[in-house]
Order: sequence, then C-alpha cells, then structure tokens
Amino acid sequence: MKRFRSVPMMLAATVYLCWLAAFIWLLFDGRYMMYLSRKLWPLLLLGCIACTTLVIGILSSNRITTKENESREDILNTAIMLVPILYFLVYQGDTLGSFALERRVVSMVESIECSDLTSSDGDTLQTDIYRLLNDYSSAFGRHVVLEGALNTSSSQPVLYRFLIVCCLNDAIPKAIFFESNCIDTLENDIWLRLEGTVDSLHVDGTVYPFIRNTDVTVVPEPDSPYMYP
Amino acid sequence: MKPSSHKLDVLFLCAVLVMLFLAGDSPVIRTAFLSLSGIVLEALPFMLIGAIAGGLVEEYLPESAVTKLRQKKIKAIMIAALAGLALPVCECAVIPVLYRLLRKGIPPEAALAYMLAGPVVNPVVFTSTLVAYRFNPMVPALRVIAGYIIAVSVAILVSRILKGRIIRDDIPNSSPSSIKGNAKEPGIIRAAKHAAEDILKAGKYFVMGALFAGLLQSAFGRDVLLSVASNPVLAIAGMMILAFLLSICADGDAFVAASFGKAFFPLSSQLAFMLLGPMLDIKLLLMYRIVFPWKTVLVLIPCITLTVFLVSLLLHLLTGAAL
Repeated sequence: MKRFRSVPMMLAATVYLCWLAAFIWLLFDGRYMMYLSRKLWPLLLLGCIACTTLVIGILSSNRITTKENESREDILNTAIMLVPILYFLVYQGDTLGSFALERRVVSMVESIECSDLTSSDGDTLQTDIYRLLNDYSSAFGRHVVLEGALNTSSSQPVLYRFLIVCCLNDAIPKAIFFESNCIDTLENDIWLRLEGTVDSLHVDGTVYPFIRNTDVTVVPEPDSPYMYP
Repeated sequence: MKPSSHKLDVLFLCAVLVMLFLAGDSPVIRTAFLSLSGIVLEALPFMLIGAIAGGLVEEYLPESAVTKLRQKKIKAIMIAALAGLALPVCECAVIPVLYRLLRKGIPPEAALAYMLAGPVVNPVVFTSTLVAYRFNPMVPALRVIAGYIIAVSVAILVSRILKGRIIRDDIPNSSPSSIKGNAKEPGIIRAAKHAAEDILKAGKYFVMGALFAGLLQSAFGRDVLLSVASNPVLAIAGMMILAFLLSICADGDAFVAASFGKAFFPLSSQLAFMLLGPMLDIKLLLMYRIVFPWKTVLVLIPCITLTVFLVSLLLHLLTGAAL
C-alpha cells in the first residue's frame, strides 16, 4: 500500500525548519542583539532545540495511507507564522529611532535628585548613558565620553539611546541634555560622540542631568546601537 | 483547536504585505514591526517549550491524576494558582499547556487560575521586578501576593457567573486532532506531533496580536498619560489601559513600569500596570480564544479589569504616599 506524508504536518515542519534557520542565523551572526537583550541568547538556543525536536518528531512519524489535501487553514497558519522571518529578511539592520523615542518617553529626560551632587575628579569616564544616569552622583563634575543618537525636538538637544531589558518591545529610551552650538545643521538620529563635563541643568525648580562644554563628533551608528542592563 | 475564520487570516496577510512593501518607509510601520520581532523572538522559544510540555501532558499525564482535582474546586483553584512557582513560564507559553491540560479534564476553574497567576506568581518575574525596582523587595512581594489574590478571585468569580461553563465545547476529550498517525508510534513522537500542531494554531493568534500591539505602541505616545498622573484613580486606569495596549512580556514589564517614575505616577498605578499586563492584553485576548468561547472572554475582561483596579486602589488607600 502506498504511504504519504501528512500535508499539515509537512507544512508544520516547514515552519519549524524556517524558524530553526532564523534562530541559528540570528544567534551565530550576533544579530539577535538588535531585537533581544544580550543575556537572552540561551533563549534562541532553546528555540533551536525545540524546533529540531519538533522537526525530528514530524519526520519520524509513520506515513499515512490515505493522501490528504492541504487545507486552506494550514497554508494560512504557515504563512502567518513566517511573517516575522519575512520582516527579518526585508528590513535587516532596522533600529528604533527618534520616532520611537518620542512615543516611548513620559518626559524626554528623567530628572535627578540634586541633594548629594558634589563635583568629583578623576580620569575621563568612558561610559554609556544608562550607566551614567544610574550613578550620576559619582560622575558629577567629571569629564565624560558618551555615544548616542541626536534628538532636537525639545528646547535643549538630547543624546539618547535605547535600553533593551528583554526585547525591543520593552526598550526604554535613556536621554541626557547636552550643551552645543554646532548641531544646528545635524538631523535627528545622527550618531554623535560627546566629550564634556557632567553637570546639572535647573529648569523650573527641577534638576536634569546635563553635559556641559561639549565637543561633538559625528560617528557612524555602532554595530550594537542599544544598551543592555 | 478550532479553525478560525479564513477571511481574517487572508486580511491579515494582505495587510502585512501592504505594510512591508508599500508603506515600509512609515516610521509607525517600521517601529511596529520592530516591536513584533522583539516580542516573537522573546516569546516563541517559550511557546515552543510550552507546546512540547503540552504534548507530553497529552501523552503521558494519566487521567487519574486530574480526577482528584475535580472534586475540590476551590482547593484546586488555590493550588493551580501556585503552579507558576514550579513551572515559571510567561503568559504566551501558558496557553498551549493549558489547552492540553483541559483536554485531560483538569477543572476549567483551576486552569483559569493557573493561566492568570502563572505569569505573575513565579520566581523569574519576582527577580526581574526586584531588579527593576532597585532591590526594593516590597514591590515584587506586593506584585506576587496581589497577583495571586486577583487570579484566585477572578477564577472563582468567572466560575460562579458562568456556572462552570468556561471552556469551548469542542475541547474536552472530543477535539479531533488533525494528526493522522499510527497508534503504534512511540508516545514521544505523538507528543512532538501534538506540539507541532498546537504551535501552528496558537502561533497565528500570537503573531497577529503582537503586530497589533506593536502598531498601537507606535501610534500612541506615553506622554498623554502625564495629564492623568496626578489623580491616583485616573493614573491606575491609565496605566491599565497602557498595559493592555503594549502587550509586554511579564518578564520585562517591571522595567517599563519603573521607567514611569514614582515622581510622576504613584507606585500603585505601576503595580496595576504589572498586574494587568500578564493577565490581559491584546495578544492574550486573541490567544484566549483558543481555549475559551467569546462568552467567557467577555466575562473575563471586566472581571480581571475590575479586580486589578480595586486591588490597586486598595493598595493605594492602605499605604497612601508610601506607595
């Protein structure tokens, strides 16, 4: 008796093979960091193992004796499950920018407590916006080098970068005001390297983190434009 | 799992193609797809593992193991709401396991309690909330305790309102699997086939919900909430609406909640955000249809919303400015 592979199961196998390839590509290329926190790489490994298990399960199953017609539902389910992979292929390297920044902030720059801010000396601090804001008091008064993207939608220009905690959907913008009179010709989302002094900016009784006396250099967008906790 | 309307699927695929290839330059579309890709990459491995666990339940869990649970419903609800402590999965992974547990005959009320509490009452979420709130243990402790109380209350409430008719009629022991296999196949192979089938059907709702959530996140700015932040009642309501629209995974939502800052939003409203999100959001609403009829979903929405709102308000009133 002639035996056939179940069509719904073969469509399922196609989906899992495509996802297996996507997981491997994103993991070994390091590209997953454009969508996920750096620490979550084991998740993709888990995905690879699960997809492999499912494909092996499907291919090891016995063939059926009556040939099935593929149902429209199976084809549509398969197509919908492949939508994210289509996006990965079409828009490689796409990143969150000023549009997402303006949608995701409650206030462009978070205020700081100013009671314990005393200037400290030390070597030039090479850090990122998240770490600087997290430990602002110890960096206060020091010379700092920061990289980020430019946004000029508020009264003072800001340097911002997104912090990915788990994935891009929960990415939080972290921004800092800076002083510069040479950015008028620059467009939003241009990447800059700032060198300046960590200071504070007082606006209507609220204190904001601020980089004063800034040297600004335009730099290319880094391979890893996000910050990770 | 019951087939859905094909028209909706075709419409969705056409919309995706138009968005990707004709409106791909729009920042709304690109930001929405970036959100989608993040959600899917983070949650799909959990869903795959959840589906495999569901397949193993289908093949290996003896029906006698769930028979005892059927006799003591309240006790079953209270125990099921703690199951997340042993099986810490996010809300997306819960659904495939739930589907197979229901087919095995687990009481629907208990399954509901597990579905609602599992993504909140678990060690992973406790730890991520602890880190997000700079190691202040009060916030994760309040989240877990309040999450447990809400899940148990909603499960009992929904069960009373619907008189036990909670799940789809075609689930318990009657849903014909599309798997055409041979009874002589090893159980592990059949389990993998069940999992493969479940993911393909649950995954569809998941991808649709994730894209919809991404579009809404891109379309509305969070700064509109500032106008209601000073009023605790409105702040709690506003943060609950936001949690519903954003569909952020329970493992990472505490960081987003904390980013709203105590200076702007009372902590009770941030807790409302963290309590509602894992129980009710856009992608979950679509995924709930896999196991629940519309009638149950329509009862679940106000029950969850009101309970989370009242618990958050109570926390605010009891602790005042401290919270």
